[in-house]
Amino acid sequence: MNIETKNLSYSYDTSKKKTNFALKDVNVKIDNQEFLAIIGPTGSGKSTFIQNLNALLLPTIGEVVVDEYIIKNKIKIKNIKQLRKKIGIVFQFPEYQLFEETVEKDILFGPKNFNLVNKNNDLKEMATKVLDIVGLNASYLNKAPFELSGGEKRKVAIAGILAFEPDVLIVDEPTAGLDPIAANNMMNLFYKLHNLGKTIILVTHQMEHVLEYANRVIVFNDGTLSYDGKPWDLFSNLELVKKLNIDVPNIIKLYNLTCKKYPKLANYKVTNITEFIKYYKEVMAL
Amino acid sequence: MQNIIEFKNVTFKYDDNSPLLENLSFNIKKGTYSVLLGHNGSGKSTIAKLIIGLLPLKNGQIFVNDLQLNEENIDKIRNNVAIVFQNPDNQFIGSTVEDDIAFGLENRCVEQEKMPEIITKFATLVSMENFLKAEPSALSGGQKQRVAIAGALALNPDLLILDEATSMLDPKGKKEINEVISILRKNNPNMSILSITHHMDEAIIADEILVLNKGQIVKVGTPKDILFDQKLLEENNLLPPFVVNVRKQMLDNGLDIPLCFSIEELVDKL
Repeated sequence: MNIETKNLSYSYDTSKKKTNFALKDVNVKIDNQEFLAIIGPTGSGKSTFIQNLNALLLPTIGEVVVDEYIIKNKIKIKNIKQLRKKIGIVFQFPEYQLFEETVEKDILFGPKNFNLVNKNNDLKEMATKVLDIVGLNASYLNKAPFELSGGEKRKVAIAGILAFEPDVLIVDEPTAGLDPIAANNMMNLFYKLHNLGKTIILVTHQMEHVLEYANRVIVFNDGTLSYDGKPWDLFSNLELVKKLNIDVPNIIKLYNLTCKKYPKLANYKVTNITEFIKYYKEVMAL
Repeated sequence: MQNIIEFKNVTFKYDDNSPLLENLSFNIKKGTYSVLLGHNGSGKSTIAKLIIGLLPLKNGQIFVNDLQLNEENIDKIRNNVAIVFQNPDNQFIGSTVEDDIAFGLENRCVEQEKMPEIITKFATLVSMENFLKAEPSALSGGQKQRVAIAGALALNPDLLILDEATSMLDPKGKKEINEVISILRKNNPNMSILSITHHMDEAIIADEILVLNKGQIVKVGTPKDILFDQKLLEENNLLPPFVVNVRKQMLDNGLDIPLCFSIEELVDKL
């Protein structure tokens, strides 16, 4: 599934003269099976952007092209439901969005809504399968959402999105508020889904995750796209990082400081601790 | 007495569930910056809510600044304790920054004439003095949390509790809050701060760390005692801070590096 935004601008201003634009002339092409990270300060347009990708918000100016669908302002998109089935969004703090009596019912709400349920498929099996993917066993099916911990609820919410088998999974700050181990487990889940062929779009403030998991990162600043490229190319560019006012992962901080002391280290690309130690040793042996 | 918080044999459970805290006893010394560490669901926020009486205490005793937590003392205790929660949008009550800071003062019946001076003083402390008339919608998450801290400090508390106050903020917001905390520690050495956090960068600068697991404080110690103890961290589902992790892997690779508490210090030793 390919997604492309063409001159996309969006304003929440409902009056005729649109002044405040939350997105300004954004042009991005997202290819099939990417692991794309979206970063930028609070209020920079990240959430507005992802909602434009599946027609939850319609462009004020420009368009979003998703395969055969063209999303434009004031245009009725045929089969909008079909589009939304292809692109699943897990919003921030999805644990607050569970509303059914049991985990099973909550998971099956999406598939029912998209008419994916017929006499031939076993609903329990469908729900069990996605629970397994997020790392919960079948004993959770009959539990009430309020019996679960915060992390478990979040997993159930994600299972509910996976249940209608979207090609693209968009997750908005999925690790906020989780402890570091739970956050790593969550990230490994997205990595697994990515390996299963899904496109992952991750909105995050955790720069370590961007460097470790994403193949590409885009940066928003005040509604404008200010960077589009590889995470390493961004984080290792001191000037750019300063200009865009971006926090860099700890490993890059360590690398940059060590490069100042031992400039030869700058000839190597360091993205994790193992590489750092390996190249540090090489530099010291010279 | 030298303790700001004392828990004596506190047991707490939600409804019919098994106890989340069981026979819990611990003390936190006055004037310290303490960090409570524990994985999700270990009971950290429950402890914070018990201290300010947001949850009913049924078994055991809690003392806050030498006052026993009970019906009679609860108002006095709440007058001495301020808390900042996780979500910046859920605790902004006023229509402007100055209104929000004034809210707590009004509750304490501070005289109207004295308010502007107090508001300006604490807004300045958190670098929000130029936003007094700003509405919450015009503020970033970090700015709202700083206003929440200003509102809390304006009440002159003996104890400030930060319950994951930075976890919903972007990197810039986190940095702003941590800068405010370090200024507070310098300027108000008598005020006690209890921070509940998952951020090891915040824990490594604490005076004291308490590790909570399965309703028990399993260890109390300095960052040096706790964060370099790999076995302890593993047993309690915690991950070591970045610098500790780097140092450990360097030792494993035959590089001898002394204990370090920051990236700068580590690079210095290389």
